[in-house]
Amino acid sequence: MLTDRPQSYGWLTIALHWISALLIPAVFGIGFYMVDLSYYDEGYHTLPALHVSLGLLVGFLTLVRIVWRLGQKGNPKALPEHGFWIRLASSSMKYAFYVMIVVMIVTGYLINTAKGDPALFFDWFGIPATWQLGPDGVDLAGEIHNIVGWLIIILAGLHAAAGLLHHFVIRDRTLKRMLRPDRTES
Amino acid sequence: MKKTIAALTLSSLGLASVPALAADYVIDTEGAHASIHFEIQHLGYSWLLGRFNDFEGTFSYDPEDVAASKVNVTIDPASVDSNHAERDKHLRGSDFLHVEKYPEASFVSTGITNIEDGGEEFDIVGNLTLHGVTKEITIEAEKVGEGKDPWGGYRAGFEGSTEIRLKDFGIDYNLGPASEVVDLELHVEGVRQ
Repeated sequence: MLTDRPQSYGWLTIALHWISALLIPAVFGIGFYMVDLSYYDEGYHTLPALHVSLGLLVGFLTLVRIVWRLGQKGNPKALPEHGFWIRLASSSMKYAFYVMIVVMIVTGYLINTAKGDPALFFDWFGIPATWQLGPDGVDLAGEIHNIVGWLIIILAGLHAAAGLLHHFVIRDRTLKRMLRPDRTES
Repeated sequence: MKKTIAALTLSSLGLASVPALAADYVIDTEGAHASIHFEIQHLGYSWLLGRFNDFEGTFSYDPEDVAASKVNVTIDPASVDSNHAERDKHLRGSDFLHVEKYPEASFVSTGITNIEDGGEEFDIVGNLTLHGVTKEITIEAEKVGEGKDPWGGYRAGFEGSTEIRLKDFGIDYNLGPASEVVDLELHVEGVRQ
């Protein structure tokens, strides 16, 4: 039930998927809102700190997710009724998400630590600075962070629409497989 | 050589009025014997200090004729450094310096006034261009010293300060009533050419 099977996802994969599905739009929303805060807004300092902390959390979860998925031997297999184009579209979307999330974590970290201060995970611990960017590098990282952030949200919208399409229009098990493991499979 | 002798002869005879030749100096940014600092109040509770790391400039100065002095400095506003990565990013952005649109700031002197203390203290009037806006400002300057350096050169150094209202230069991000004015402090040492 915990691990992925040929026909269905296990609980850990399902949990990681849905936590990410909540967390990533939340981090985006905070980021989108915080950049326009004025100096006298209450969240001027707290929201950027929260954005960094939750962004790091996405980073940790994504790391766990990548390692975990690598250990699942390619399970579950694609649904047999899905042809070449659906498989290509869905798997390229999946890899694009991994790449984009990693880009977001790396650029966010580089902006945050550019002066040598650690990236703080709440009040708990900090990830030390390593490669310190100069001003041009920080601004470039900022632009990438902005563009890729929007790209993730737009593609996540398409990804969600595709899930609903599979469930309500094509009426296959794509979405159901991401809701709970198949009990008949052991 | 002949011309020089001719000029000397003429001037010594008082037949030609040779203007006092102000010495030209290049600001020693290469050796970092120059810096441009700014100070702004934080909420009215403390001073925040920062600096512009990249700039270059020249000046001419003749202690015999201080009024003929000139100074010309260009600053890269993207080099703003307040020792805080995200604040510096914010300062470079469109809320403040907007360096992408206005990649250069400069000061070009137009005249020297209020010469005091035997030419050691004076006001430099000139045009400051910042954030795409050019305005006349006055820098109160003071000579720190001048003379030979140990490596065969000749140097002169000054310090100067002025204050500007951010709004005058089109920067109107609200930092609060205590933080509308920025003090600029300049320390320059020039190597005579």
